[in-house]
Order: sequence, then C-alpha cells, then structure tokens
Amino acid sequence: MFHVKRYDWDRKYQVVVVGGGHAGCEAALACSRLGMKTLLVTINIDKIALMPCNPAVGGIGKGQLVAEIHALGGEMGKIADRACIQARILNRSKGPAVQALRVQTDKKFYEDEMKKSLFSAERLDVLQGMVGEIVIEGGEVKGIVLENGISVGAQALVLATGTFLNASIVVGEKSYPAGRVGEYASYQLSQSLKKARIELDRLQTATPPRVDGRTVDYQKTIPQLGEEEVEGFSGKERPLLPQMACFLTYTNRETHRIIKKHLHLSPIKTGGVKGRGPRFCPSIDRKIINFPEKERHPVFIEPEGWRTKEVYLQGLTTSMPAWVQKEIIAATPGLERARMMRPGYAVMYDFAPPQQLHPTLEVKEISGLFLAGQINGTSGYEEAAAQGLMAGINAARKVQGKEGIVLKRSQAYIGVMIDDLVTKGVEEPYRMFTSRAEFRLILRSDNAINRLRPLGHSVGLVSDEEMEEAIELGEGVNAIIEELKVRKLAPEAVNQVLGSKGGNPAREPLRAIDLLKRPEVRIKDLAEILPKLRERTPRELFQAETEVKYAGYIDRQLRDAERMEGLENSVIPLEIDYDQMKELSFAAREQLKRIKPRTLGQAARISTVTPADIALLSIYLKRKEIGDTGDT
Amino acid sequence: MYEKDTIAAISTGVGEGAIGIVRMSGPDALPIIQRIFLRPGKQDQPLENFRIHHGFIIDPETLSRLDEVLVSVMRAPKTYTREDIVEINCHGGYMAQRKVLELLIKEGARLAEPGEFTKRAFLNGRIDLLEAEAVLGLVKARSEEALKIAARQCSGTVSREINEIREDIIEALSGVEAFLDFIEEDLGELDEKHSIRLLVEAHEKIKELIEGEHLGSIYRHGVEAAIVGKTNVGKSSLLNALLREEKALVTEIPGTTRDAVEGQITISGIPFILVDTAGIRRTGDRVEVLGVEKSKIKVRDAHFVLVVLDASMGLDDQDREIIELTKGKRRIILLNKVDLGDLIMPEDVPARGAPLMKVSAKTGEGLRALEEEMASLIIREDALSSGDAVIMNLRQRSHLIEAGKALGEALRTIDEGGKEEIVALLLRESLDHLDSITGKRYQEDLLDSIFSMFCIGK
Repeated sequence: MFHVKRYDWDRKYQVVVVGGGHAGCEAALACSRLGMKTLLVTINIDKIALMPCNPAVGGIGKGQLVAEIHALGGEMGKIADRACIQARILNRSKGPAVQALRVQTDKKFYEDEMKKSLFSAERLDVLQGMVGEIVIEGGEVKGIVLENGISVGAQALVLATGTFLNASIVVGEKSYPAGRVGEYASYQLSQSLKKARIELDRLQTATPPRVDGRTVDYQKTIPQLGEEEVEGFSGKERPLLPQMACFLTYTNRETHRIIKKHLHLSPIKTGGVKGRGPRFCPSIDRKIINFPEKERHPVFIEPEGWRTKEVYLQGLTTSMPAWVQKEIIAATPGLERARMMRPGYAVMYDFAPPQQLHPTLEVKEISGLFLAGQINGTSGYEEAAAQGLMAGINAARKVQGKEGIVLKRSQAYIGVMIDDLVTKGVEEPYRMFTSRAEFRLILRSDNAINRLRPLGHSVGLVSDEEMEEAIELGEGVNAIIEELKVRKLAPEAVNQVLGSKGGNPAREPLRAIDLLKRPEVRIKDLAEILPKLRERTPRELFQAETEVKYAGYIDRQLRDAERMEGLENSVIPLEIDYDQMKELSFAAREQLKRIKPRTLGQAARISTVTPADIALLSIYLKRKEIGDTGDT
Repeated sequence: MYEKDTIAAISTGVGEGAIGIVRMSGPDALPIIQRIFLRPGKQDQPLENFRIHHGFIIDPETLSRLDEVLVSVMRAPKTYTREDIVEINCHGGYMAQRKVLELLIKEGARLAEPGEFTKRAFLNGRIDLLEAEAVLGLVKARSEEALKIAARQCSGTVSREINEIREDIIEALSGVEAFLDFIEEDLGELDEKHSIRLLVEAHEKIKELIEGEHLGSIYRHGVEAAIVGKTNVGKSSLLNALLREEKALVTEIPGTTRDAVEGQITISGIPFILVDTAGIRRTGDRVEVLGVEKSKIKVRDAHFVLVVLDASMGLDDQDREIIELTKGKRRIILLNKVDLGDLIMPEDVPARGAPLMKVSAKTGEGLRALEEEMASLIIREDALSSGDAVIMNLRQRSHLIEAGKALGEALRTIDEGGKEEIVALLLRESLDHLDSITGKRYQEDLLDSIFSMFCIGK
C-alpha cells in the first residue's frame, strides 16, 4: 500500500474539536478523559463556554438533558451547580416526570469554571484560530488547516461551530457578518464543507436587549425568588456564589402600540431576516403579529451575574432598530428609565441538515467527521452540550476502533433528540420539549443516574466511586419499595396517616404500598410511622415515591419499550441497496436512501415508510442473513 | 424473534365450504383459547398437542355462545410459525369466524397484517430462502391491494369522522402539553371545560362509530345490495333467482317494479339484503318517476350494487349512464339473459375494473359464480380496507376500540383529579391507535397545534 502524505502537519492529535461553546467543551473534555490526545480550536479563547443568550441552564425538557449529561460523566451539570445564582424546580405542582430544575447562572463565573476544567484536563490543548479547510482524503478526515496556515492532523474531527458558519447578524436595517455580536464569522469553513459535499441550509435565531440593572425600577416588578434546599443537577456541587433574584414585569398597550407603529422596520417584515426561526422563542414583534388580541406579554428581568450590572430581558427578543428597542423598553413598566447596554439582534447562519448524520453524529459520507450543536440545527446550551458529549464519546471510540454509542428513545432524552434530528431533520431550530419523548414517565431527572450511569461507567467517563453512588441509589429505592410492600398497616395507623387529608378511612389492614398509591398520601407521611424509611436519603425517597405512584403507567411504558425492542435491535447494514427492493414504495425508498436508518425501529419512524415497507425490509434483512451465512 | 405478540386472522378463503378456520399464533395463543373454549365434561383435561378438540367458543364477558367449533392446538416449536398455534374450525360461516376473531382480539391477540403468518414462519427460520421470494410477493400483493382499496375509499365518511375525532383529541392534548412544557409563559387560562367537552364528544363519536347503525349494521343486518339496470333487463328475475322465490312482480311490461322490493340471502355466512329497484329510464309516468328517484337513492345508500345489462340486446346509452351512475360503488356488472344472446362485448363495457359476469336469471347459469364473487368482494375488502365509508374492517374496529378505551381512561383520570402527564399519556395512546387507522403521525401535528393555540416564548 502506498500512502501519499499530502500534509506535513504542524501538529498532530487524535481528536480535534472545533468550537469552544457548550458542545465543543463537552466534546473536548470527553475525548481527553477517554485518553485521546485532544485539541480544542476556538476563534477566541476569551469566549469559551460563553452564554450568548439567556443566563440560565436547565428548564423543562432541558433540565432532564442536563441530568443525563451529568449521569453520563459530562461537565455541564457540575458547572451549572457551582455558577448557580438561583435555582427553581419548575412544574412543582405536577408529576415528577415533568418536574425540572432550572438554574440562573452567573455567566462569567460559568465560563471561568468551564475553563478551569478544560485547562486542568490531561492531554487537552487549546488553540486560538479560525479553521479554513477540512482535509479529507478518500472519504476520511485527515485534519484541518487554519486560516493562519497552521495545519493540524487528526484521526477524528468534531465540528461544534454554533452560529458562526457564513453568519450575519441583523439589527434594524443594518446587517453585517458576525457569528455573535462583535465577533467574526466563518466563511471558509462553510465553503470547505460544501466542497466536501455536505449540504447546508439556513436558520436564524435572535436575542433580547440587555439593560443596566441599576436603572430598573424594581418596585414596579414582581420579584421571583429561588427555592432553598434544591438539590442541584449533580447532587454534590453547591452554588459558590450568593443567590440573586429575578423580576417579572409585563408589556402593556403602550409597548404594543410602539411595536405596531414601527412594525414596518422589523427585519421580519422587511425581509432583513431570512431563514426559519424558532417558533417556541418568537421575537416580541412576531408575538404582536401572531397574537394581536393578547394584551400583555411577560418580561422576565434576569441578572447576568455578580460582576456585571447587565440584566437580560427575557421576552423582549427583537432585531428591530436599536432606537425602537429603546422605545419598547421605556414603554414597559419598571423599565421606563432603563438604560440599554446591548441591543438585541438576530443572527442568520448555515447549518447542516442532520439527516446527513449517523445516530452517532458522524457524517455518513465522511468517516471520522462528527457534528454537534447548532450546526445540526438545534437551539439551546443543553441540547448543544448533550450532542457535544455524544460526539466526543463517539469520536474517541472511532479512534479506538470501538463501536459507536447510540442511546435509545426509551433510554434517554438525548436518544430522543438525536433520533429526531437524524431521522426527521429540522424545520426550525430544535429545542427539547418533554412532549417529544413518548417514554416521558420513565425518562425522568430523578432516575437519570440509574438509567445512564452504568453506560457512562462502561464507556469510561464515570469513576468507580460515582458508579457506586448509582448502585447505592438503586438499592436504596428497592429497599424502600420492599419495606412498603411487606409492611401491613393497622387501620388505626392508616387513619393516623390519612388524618386530616380526608381520604376514606380504613377498616382493614392495608399494605403501606397500597396506601401510598392514594393520591393524597405522600411518602413523608409514611415516614412518620415507618422508622426504616427515615434512614433513607431524600433522593431515594423521592424516587421510590415516584415509582410507586406511577407504577401501572411505568409498566405500560416499559411494555411499549419492550415491544419496540425487536425493531430497535434489528440493525440494517450500511451497505444495503434499497434500489434492489422493488417491492418498497417509491416514497419510502427515496427517504430510506437519504436517511439510511441504522435499525428497523428508526426506519419505521420515517414519515413515508409504512408498516408494509417495514415488513418487507425485515424479510430482506433476514434473507440477506441467510444468504450471507449460506456463502460461508 | 422479531415480534413477541400474538396474531390472529381468518385463514380460509371464500368458497371453501361452510367450515372456515380462525388461526392464532404467538405466546398468548394457548392462554387465550383456554379462557374462551368450553368443552362440556372435559373442561379440566389439558388441551393435548396435535389433537382436535370439540366444544364451543364462549365470550367470557357475556357468557354467550359464539359458535360450535373444532380446535387444534400445536405447541412450539414444531409448527408453521415455530410459535404456539391454535386453529379454530368454525361451523357458522364467515359471520361466526368474524365474531370469533373479534373475541380473540378482545382477549389480547392482534389482527395479523397481510401475509404475517408466512412472514413469521420465515423470520423464525421455518421456511427457506427460495420460499422467501414468495413471501415478498405475497406481502407486496396484499399491501398493494390494501393500498388500492384504501385510496379508493379515503374520502369515506369513516375516515372523515376519525380525522375529526383525532383533531379534537389533538386540540385537547395541546392544552395539556402546553401547560406541561411551557409553564412559565403567559398562556392564559386553559379552557379546561372546552377540552373536556372535546374529549367527551370524541369518546361519544368513537362509541358511535363502533356500534353505529350505518357501520356495524352490515354485520348485524346484512350487506345492502341494490340491483339496478334500465327497465326490463331482468332485475326482478335475478332477484327471484337469487332468492329462489317469487317475491318481485315479474312481467314483460317495462317498469312493472315501481317500488323497491327486498329479500335476504346468506352467502358464505354473510347476510345480503337484495333490493330490486325500479328500472332507471327517462319517463313521463309520475308514479314511475317516483320509483326511479327512489332507485337512485337506493343506489346511493347501498353497500353494494349489481348492475344488470341485457346481453341479448346489446349496450346502449342508458346502460352506459347507469354504469356511470354507479362508478363509485362496490359493484359487479352482470350480462344477463346470456341464454337468449351474447351481444355485449366485455371490452365495450366501461367497467373500470369492476368484475363482469355472464349470467342467466332464467336458466340459473353463472349464478353460483356470482354468489361467490359477491361474498369474496366483501370479505376481501373487510380484511384489508382502511378508511371505508361503509364497512369498518376488523383492524379498524380493534384500533377504534382501543382508542376509545384509552380515551375513556383519560376522562376518568381527569375526573379523579389525576396528574396531567398521565392524562397526556392516555390521550397519546388513543391517538396512536387512531393513527394506525389513518396512517398519519400525530407528533408533528401536536407541535403545530400548540404553537397555533398558544403564544409560546417567554
């Protein structure tokens, strides 16, 4: 074999990660921890782990993602816990499956903590520079060349470039090239991807203006305080900073009048902003257009940290001209005298439609090239971090010659997200919602550790000690449930628990577990009469209670998951030739060829593929299996 | 093994005599048969392998006896599918088979997809590579036939109603989901009463669809089959020949049948109500005009149409008009009076794929074949169709029943003050079943609905 060496690499690494945002940080850390000699390339070292939009991590759907990242051995949960300046459990009044932690963060502190992790990681170098070209030979990634001429060889490459590809930002009638306000945009890399036959498309997103917190009249707002005694994402790390309050105000008729008056200047009206934006995060001008009958919209005033006076105006996202933004702010109660520090803006950028990816996040046509974060059409720090972690794990495994890790839909929100991305693609920036997860009751924040830690451990990101913690949690929960099953409560005891709750009084002995199944009974009520429960941690009690309360429905979801198992485990070989399968419908064949599903389960989720197509496919697979063994 | 569930289907074709087999394969086949099979005097004895057992199929809920049957039990692995197989030989014809099959589904079996027994046999290694080719062909043919039928009937009232039900549930679910996922946005008040009203109505509609007159009726009252044709082509004679009795008034004077005349026959266990209509022709006679109008209505309402042409006279414009009038219907075109002449060339008849049959009501020629074709048209569509205006097939029925069950449970959960995420789970389960009928996927529609109903984005 002759190998033509095209480049005399200036440096060589096993994995190179491009982009220092939330995806890039997780990818780089995962690779270095898995033993890879890793390089993180970023346009600006001072902007690593930046939060360019809202100063918060977690929330409904997203909080579950962070819990999973943490369970798998990722970094985001720990850092968010340390940088927390306010923590709240959202959906507290609803069931445990839809409750989620959200923490407000001190942005600079978050960046600094993440940088500490990066700079203390072994085998991980950081280099400032902009990538000009990806070097690909024979369908394999070989390395990158920076715009300043430095060349870096790599066995695997993770691109986590966020909104920087071919990016331009828009404020009012002005538009200029930038990946984020005040930063560069990357054009050559976009060109290089196109040259590599990676299909690119456009999306847009936007952020609200920031004002000087000292100029806000908080008397006119409603304070939003955090909760005390909230266990963070990690269950270990504590906030290292004093806590802060958020404040709530509402737009009013005057705000809306001003927006309407200047609507003709809105880039979404003038066509200054093109590409599809997130429907779940519309600009204030978009809200006025789509819901003209609404008399007010909430505006959350959120501090960005201790070392700045900037506050974030969640709800006033817009790319209207800066002077209009000023008027909009001034018309809103509490913000009359607020001084704007940074105007809001929109950014339009290239992304790579994610159907081009394997569920490992590797580009199908280019071996060793992984994409993560907004380049895949997602939105949000948590979504990005989760992909970064998976791309990092899979890039390292690629170098080590190991099989990629793909999480199932019944296993993790991360699995749901990646399956959605690679199977259905995106029509707008993709954000996680709990309604996207069909197995919502089994994919909870409280059991993320039970679900995913063993995997994180076997991959090599979770220490033995951390694994032990997961085992203990599982055993603790089982012990509680066992105790609830065996303890029969005398009617007097039952009625003591029921007390003032108003449930039907008992006449006969009742198993503790059956008593807990009643909606009005909580596990802490039972702990009063069952001393063994008092030996258990709050975490164990919460999970045991959840398992008991959801019992029948959890079984149902597990059964559904098991039913899917057969299809999910039927792997479709990559070299399969759909054109040979004349029996498939035309529409199904075209989509199967494009998406190249990895399993029959994934194939069944493609919109044009019918149950009959799946039956045909399964027969082809079996026939191939017989045919293959027949040859040997 | 790819699947772990138990499948069931009627596995005899039409015209194979009165005894038909309902077959069941999978891990629950034995437990199910043990629940519903009554063997007087032998109830305690085990069902021996590869033996035929006599007894009755009983609905354990109503304790009603569905049919007298012979049951064979074949335990895995030495069976066709390499799974446990139970075969139930029914005596009562197609109707009885259908009832038994419905019971199996109620007891937890799933209606088999086209060619699924063979597919399982193949996937479980029972048949070889060569046979696999045949399986592919079979699955393809069956699915194509199903597709064709579905396409023809997709504008039917059932699919329209199912879509309405589906949209109502999606709207209600959007409310539930929006308040789970977007709690901090200013969503306003959720009009809970409106959502519950939507769900109660959807639940009612599902129940109506399952039990409804116009749908379930053919299995309770029979398939309504209209006999149409211009005057004096022998409609009444045909009716009489099929009924084998003199019910319709038969004369040589055109237009003698002035009102619809009915009679019932049973073919392969399927009851057909034959309706003789007044001849459709342009006429000045007032009484007859009424009859003609009534006939047109009968054609519109019928499940099934027999178009009668006079083979001894040749095809004319009136015949063509009638064929055109019935084009959307399930129909057979008859060339009657072939004993007197055979002047109509089949290729001249604009049949659009409808079967064309030569018969003579007078001599009885071709009548047997006609009966078989009538039954086979109904059974074929019953087994395969989806979205039919008139006949609801078993697959639809079982999904509708499940959708209704989940919806009912959701309503009970709301009533008892249960958690929103449980209500959502049950509504989703209901939608999953409706989507299995319509082939749609609610997931995407759900997000669209949420974003159109609520101002999301704090």
